Amino acid sequence: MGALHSLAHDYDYLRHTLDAMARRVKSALHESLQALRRSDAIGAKHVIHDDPDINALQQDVEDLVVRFITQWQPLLRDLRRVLAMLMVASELERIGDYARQLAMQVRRAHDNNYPLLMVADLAELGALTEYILSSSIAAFLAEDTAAARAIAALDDQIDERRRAIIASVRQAALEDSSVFDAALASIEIARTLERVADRATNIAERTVYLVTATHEALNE
Amino acid sequence: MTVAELSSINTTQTNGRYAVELQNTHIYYGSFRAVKDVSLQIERQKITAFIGPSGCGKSTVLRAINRMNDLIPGSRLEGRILFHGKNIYDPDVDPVEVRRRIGMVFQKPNPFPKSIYDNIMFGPRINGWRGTKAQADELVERALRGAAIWDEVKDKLHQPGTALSGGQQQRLCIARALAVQPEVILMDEPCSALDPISTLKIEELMLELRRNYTIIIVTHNMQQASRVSDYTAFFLMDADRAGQLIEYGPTEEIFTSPKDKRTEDYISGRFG
Repeated sequence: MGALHSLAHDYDYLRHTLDAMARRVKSALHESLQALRRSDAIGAKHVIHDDPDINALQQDVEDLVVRFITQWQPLLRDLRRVLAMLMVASELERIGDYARQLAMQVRRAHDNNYPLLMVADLAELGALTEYILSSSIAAFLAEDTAAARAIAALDDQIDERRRAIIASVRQAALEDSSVFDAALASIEIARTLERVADRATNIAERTVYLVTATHEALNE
Repeated sequence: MTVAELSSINTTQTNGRYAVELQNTHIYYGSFRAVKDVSLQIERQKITAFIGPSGCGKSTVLRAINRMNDLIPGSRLEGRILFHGKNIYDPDVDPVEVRRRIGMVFQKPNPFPKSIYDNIMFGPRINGWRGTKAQADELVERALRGAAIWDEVKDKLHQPGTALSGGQQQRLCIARALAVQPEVILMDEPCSALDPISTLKIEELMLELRRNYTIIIVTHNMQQASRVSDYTAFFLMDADRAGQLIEYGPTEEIFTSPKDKRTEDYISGRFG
């Protein structure tokens, strides 16, 4: 505190910190999906263990935003940008939690010896979710409203796939009660991935607001 | 003696919802054009903020509204400034009368080296005050209450105004302006010499005064403009260094999504 930098310098530093946090979250999600595909309990354990780092980065973003507002009293887009960063950091922190929950499902399935159902479909849903997350973070950092709006269309695909997976898993459980635990876990994983996509779509909405100062609901 | 009897301005006439209307106003200092073609309608009983970088003409426009620029040799105005439908620059208008109806508060508090009481009574007296002592006491109390400083000074009305703190002096100056019952109060950076607490007191006072008066404020403090004003006018000098009105609208719009890129850049602190 105190040493005078330019507004651009302080903003770059903030952006860099948020970007670092986004990379950690993307990689946590990626690793948990990898663990899901490979039924890899050790990989899952890494994700569970790394979560505190993500929380610490969120606190860094928060501290930097408070400092930025105190020192620069930003207005208009400058103000909306740093407030959006605060909210994006909070969305990312939640996504980090979801990645951890996914990893815990994988580990539990492994430890209790029940193979998850529809793993290939869940992995595909996961890949689409990862794509939405990367795109919305990229759109946010580039302040690209066209890219942000394009993400909304993908959200429908997520819903469809999640619905299809749940229907199949439910059917399997009805037909064979021995897969009941696996079915519950698979449904939970599908729902968690959908929540990740919802949070990512919120990041896209933040992008539109930051640029236009108007609220647009992208995931109606 | 009533205001109407004195007046060269017919108060029964109005500009409708506008307290003051500038029409194609150009202001010159000698051959230098300081302000170019400003047209602006100031809403009655609202607070309008003039913002812009130093030298953009905003104070010049403000001072033109009560003919303060007349006091600067070589200053000249083209266009019209309407008050109650009357151009205040018409030859039959008395500038002293204009300044009574359209009061002014300056950047640096400037109480007269007189008692608090006499500071308030100064305006009424030069305007031919003929009331009783009791009426004068009442007028002083009303003006000081109106400027939210009565409680702080009621026990020392005969002490010099200059002995007050800066923030109190500024509220005394506002009370002095209120004593002659103006309709419009012009404020030229009224808080720039004050600490944050005194600044907030003046801002609260402005919001209170808005019930009865029209206020126009020049400020360099963007947060202040966004806090207190209903409308904001952004001025900028052009290539000839003449001040121009760039954008004018509800403060909420100017401070969320200004239409002109130059307004956005100025408010965000990109220049000025």
